Amino acid sequence: MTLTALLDRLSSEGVEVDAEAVLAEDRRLAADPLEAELPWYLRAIVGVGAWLTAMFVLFWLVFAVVVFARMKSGFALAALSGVLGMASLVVSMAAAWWPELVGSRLRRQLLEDGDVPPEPGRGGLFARTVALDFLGQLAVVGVLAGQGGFAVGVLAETSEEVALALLVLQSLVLFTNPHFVLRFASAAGLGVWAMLLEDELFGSRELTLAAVTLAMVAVWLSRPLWLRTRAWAAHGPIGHGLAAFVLVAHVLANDTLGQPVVNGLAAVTVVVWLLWEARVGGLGIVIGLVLCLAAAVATVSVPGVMLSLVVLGLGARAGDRVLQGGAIAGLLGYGLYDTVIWDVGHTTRFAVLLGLGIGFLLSAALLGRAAEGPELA
Amino acid sequence: MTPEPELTLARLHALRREGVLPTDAIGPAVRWIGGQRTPASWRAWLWAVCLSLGVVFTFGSLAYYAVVNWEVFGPWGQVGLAVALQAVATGLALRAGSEQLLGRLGAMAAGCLIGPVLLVLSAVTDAEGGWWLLFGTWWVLMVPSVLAARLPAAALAWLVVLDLGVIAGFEPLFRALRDLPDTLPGLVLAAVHVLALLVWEALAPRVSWMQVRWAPRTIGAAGVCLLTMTALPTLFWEGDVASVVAIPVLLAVVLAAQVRYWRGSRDLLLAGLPLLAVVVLVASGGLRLVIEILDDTLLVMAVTPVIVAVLLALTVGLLVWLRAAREWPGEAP
Repeated sequence: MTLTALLDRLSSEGVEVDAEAVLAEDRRLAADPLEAELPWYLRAIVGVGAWLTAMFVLFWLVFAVVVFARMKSGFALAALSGVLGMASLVVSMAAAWWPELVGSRLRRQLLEDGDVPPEPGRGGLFARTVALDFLGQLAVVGVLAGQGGFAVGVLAETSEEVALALLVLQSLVLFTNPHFVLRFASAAGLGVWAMLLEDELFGSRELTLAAVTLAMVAVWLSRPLWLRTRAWAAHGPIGHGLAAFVLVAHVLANDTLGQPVVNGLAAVTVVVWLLWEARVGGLGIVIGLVLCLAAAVATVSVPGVMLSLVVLGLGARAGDRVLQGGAIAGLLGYGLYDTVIWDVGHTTRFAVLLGLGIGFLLSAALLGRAAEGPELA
Repeated sequence: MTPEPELTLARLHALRREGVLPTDAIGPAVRWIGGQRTPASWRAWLWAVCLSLGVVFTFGSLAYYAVVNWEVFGPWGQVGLAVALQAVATGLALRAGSEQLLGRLGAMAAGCLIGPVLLVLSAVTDAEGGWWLLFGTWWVLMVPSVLAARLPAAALAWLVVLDLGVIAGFEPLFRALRDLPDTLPGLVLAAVHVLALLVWEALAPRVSWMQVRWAPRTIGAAGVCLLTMTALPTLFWEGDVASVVAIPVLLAVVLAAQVRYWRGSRDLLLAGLPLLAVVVLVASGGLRLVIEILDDTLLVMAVTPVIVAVLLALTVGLLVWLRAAREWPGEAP
């Protein structure tokens, strides 16, 4: 949908909007170099440079911690670790928010100059470049380097303390830093450290998996609510971070038989959600029920497949290609893994895989015919 | 006149932030931008998922069956299977014709299957000649299918076969001439890619199917990677003659890429990649330095920040340079 089409539709729906002012502001923003984003591949190139730098920063910090550790001073080591953790947070926040401050100042200055659309080259190319592009990467460097030093420092302590300390640090990063990569890593990292903590304290990993799965489903189902608020930009990294954790959680949990609680939760989620979609979204109720039953049966022997199906459905609902791609990778990966570890002969395995393939193709043929025929529900 | 771009969430919220779009307009706008699921769209999505998974599982199971029973087939069975696949691909290409995508994909598959057919045939006939002869024959015989396919992917597959042939060709050379530098294949392969890139750029204005950017970008990126890997030993440990030569060659490529791609922002990816290669090489040199002085704690603590500063300066400089390209962000698609 284009901006003009949106304004037309808003006007026809009775929402009062000054179309001329919106279009004029849109033209001004389009000409504003501070609003322009680098193409993805240039951000990737700069990202590689920043990450290489990060490796050296990380090495330097870890080296410093090791030197302190050799002094056999527990207090000095703990103090240094704490300082590094906090410093990484402060530096990253400053680096991440500074572009906003510099950007606002430059924009104000440009407007005061005569309220004309700024031309490329005005306002200091170096300042803009550093402010808008590089410091975002530096924020990632700062947090990761600090966390690395922090982790090495507290590794001298017990695992519970490491997990708890990193859990707190990741939470702080998640809520204070607006950088996409950091938010993504923190959302996924929260799951990892929480799982480690649960494992250390209770010897299980199911509760974390269940809780994060539930949170992930809630975040993606409430996507429209997020997108209409000021927190819209946080939805992408948090949602994708949680989904990434959920998709690899079974590998981390090292389970070959599945986590009953998570699988059960996922099955219930899929059943309730698909039935809801079947009524509200209009998906044929028969197809919905058949899918639920097939998914529930599949869960018994193939952990990970069910969660991938949940993520795939959520991605389809949100129209998010990245989420759907990750889910399909999960589906194929878990399917392949389960098939490989399955203790049967080659011929049985071949027959099951071929049967699944023909089953899917038949389903596609049935769905294709259903699309032409009357509504199923 | 250029068509109006699609409205993005970032643009929508920028307009809200500037106060020209009322808050009560955001909710419906978000719904309309994202599109709403309808019964028909759900069904279409399920159809696509079922069809894709069905194709993957069906062909995957057949491939699995062929792989686990490969020895059971026997030499002539293997030849029969490879030739049957080749015949299916060729038949598909001939039936669908070169105007349809299916026919062009069939032609590409037929070209790619020449190698496996040659391989199983050479096993049956006990043919002598080595891998380089197999890849060389494959490369020559693949020409008609690449021309019939008229697909960038087919041309890239042809280049990969050439790469494999070059790598295989060095095996008898290394046996005959023991003093050849180990990294020479990397340098030659990089030269092959630079040459392929030049040919592609020269032909692209006249050949419509070559007017895509991803293919020359892939060729160029692979060439830069090969050159970087060839130069790496010189900076990280002891490099041979080819590795040392790769450094000035890389610098020449950096200059040539700026002249060819940076001016007019023709392609900032191909302009930026050689510059990134320089950053990678400097980082490798820095790592080697740190490893050499690792026993001296104070020196490590003093030198590492200097390396960090150099890398930061190089990366920021790279970014400033790429952003300064004129007509940005109107880079090539």
